[in-house]
Amino acid sequence: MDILAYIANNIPLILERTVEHLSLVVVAVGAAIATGVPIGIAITQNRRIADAVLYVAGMIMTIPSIALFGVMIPILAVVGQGIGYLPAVIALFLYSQLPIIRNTYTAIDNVDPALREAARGMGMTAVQRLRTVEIPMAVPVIAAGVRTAVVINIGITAIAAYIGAGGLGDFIARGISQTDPRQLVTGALGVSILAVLADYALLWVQNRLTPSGLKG
Amino acid sequence: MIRLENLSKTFDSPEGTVRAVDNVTMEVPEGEVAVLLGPSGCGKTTTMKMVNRLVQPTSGKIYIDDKDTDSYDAIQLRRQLGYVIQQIGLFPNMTVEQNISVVPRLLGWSRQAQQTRARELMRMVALDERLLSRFPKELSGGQQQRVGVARALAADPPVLLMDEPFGAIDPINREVIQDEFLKMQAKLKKTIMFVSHDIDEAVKMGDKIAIFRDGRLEQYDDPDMLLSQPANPFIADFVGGDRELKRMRLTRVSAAMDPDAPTVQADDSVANARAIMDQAGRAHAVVVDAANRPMGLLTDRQLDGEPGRLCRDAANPLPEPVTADRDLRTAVSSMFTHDVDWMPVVDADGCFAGVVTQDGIRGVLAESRRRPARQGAA
Repeated sequence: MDILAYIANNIPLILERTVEHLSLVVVAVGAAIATGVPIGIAITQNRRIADAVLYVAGMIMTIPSIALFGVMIPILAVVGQGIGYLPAVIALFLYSQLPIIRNTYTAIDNVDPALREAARGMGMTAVQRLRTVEIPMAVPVIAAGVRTAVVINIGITAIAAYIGAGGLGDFIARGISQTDPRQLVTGALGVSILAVLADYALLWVQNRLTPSGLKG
Repeated sequence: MIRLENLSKTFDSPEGTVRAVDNVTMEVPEGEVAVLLGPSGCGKTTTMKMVNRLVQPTSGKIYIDDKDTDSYDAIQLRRQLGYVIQQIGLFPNMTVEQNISVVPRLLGWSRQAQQTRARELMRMVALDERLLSRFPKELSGGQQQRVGVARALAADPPVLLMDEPFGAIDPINREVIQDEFLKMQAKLKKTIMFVSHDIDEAVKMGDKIAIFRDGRLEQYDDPDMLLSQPANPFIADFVGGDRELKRMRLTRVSAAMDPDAPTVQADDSVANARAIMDQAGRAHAVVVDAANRPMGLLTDRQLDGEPGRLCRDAANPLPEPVTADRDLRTAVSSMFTHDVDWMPVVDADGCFAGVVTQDGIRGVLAESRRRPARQGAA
């Protein structure tokens, strides 16, 4: 009951933290789409480069987030941004690369070779082929990658509270340090609900983006 | 017209250099269908893909209407050649109409022109216009195949390249689509290069057949010559032990029939019939009714007896007639079915046209076996 009372009394603060939380994720994933999709498309041209890029992106995923934040403190301190918003966005951006690049690469690479040959044989240029055939066919899979990235990042952003980036992780961090279960549970609930809602919202977007000829 | 001159393609593989296509020279005449035929890996598909430069030739030249294809930009060249692939390759993210309009769109046609053309093409391939707004996955295999052909014909290219175009559908639909395609081709008169591995399809579709083995063109001839005079044991084996039966598909009954077989009217007298048969020097006459439809057979044995009898009453029943535009295979099959060695031939309206006999068919088949064989590629 304590917890419900706490939540009821702190709605404005919770909303503010939620917006902070989301804005970190949206900015980072937005930037990751802008870089990851072109990279994913580009590496379909060369198997060896593709393997190398996916290997590096996979390795970044295995770095614990708290360690990544730690590593960035001295580096970004040079520009006076050792903690706070910037290192958080950079870390989230890096974690988003693997799901987005990998899904883009796999989706484009898996387009039926017969379709590519038909497109080539009819006189489409490489760019026309990408725009009218390969990307439309790949969109559902790319969108699934974005969804994965967003859900992962909503979790990781909770940890970014430790470097002062704000967000719902603040409740958790304070809950732990003040041994206050009310704040702790509020933060945990908020992060979980946000992740589930984002997942459903993006599933809807993914379905909207899927060409009707590919559905069902 | 498509002309290949000393066309070769070599690939580097771990086992050394492979000559996929070896010095091929051939010409597909304007408005004809040339089928490239051979076992898999014989170079027929590679040869075809060099025409639209999906594969770059190692050496040799390709001319379309006497123009060297090297003088075109590859992209521009492909937009001027219709292309149908085995897997059909309709784009699943596009509607039927969008699929059909791909090349017109690339060529910058107006929306209006694209729409008009799409409707025209649907009629041409015998599909309902309402399918235009459907997606490929909502169509049956046969319908998809038709859309594939319509798409290749969209910009009305003079030359079509077809890579086992009817390979992906069941045998029954395949026959139907082949027949429709032949009807369409009789009107459109495209110059077509058609890859197949099926001798029956080749004999049916081809004005000429090019047989490939190990990258080399072994024989390039019209189907009847290929079947009657295969140039070497490999070809004889490839076209099959029943090649004479296949040849019978190529010849119409009208070519083997005897149009001068005597007829008598049903209400003529037997005496009159005898005079007609004596004059023609035949032992048989076909009895026809007033509309010239065959209805019975008179042999000289039935002429004995009362000379005033009507032919109608003296006649024996006739074997089932065969239509003049059917192929010989149908006629022979029907002869075996009814255990006869001749049959009356009728035209499309059922009027008597002549008779066809097993001897006559033997004669037609033997005749082209005696024709001088042409050497190599024409």
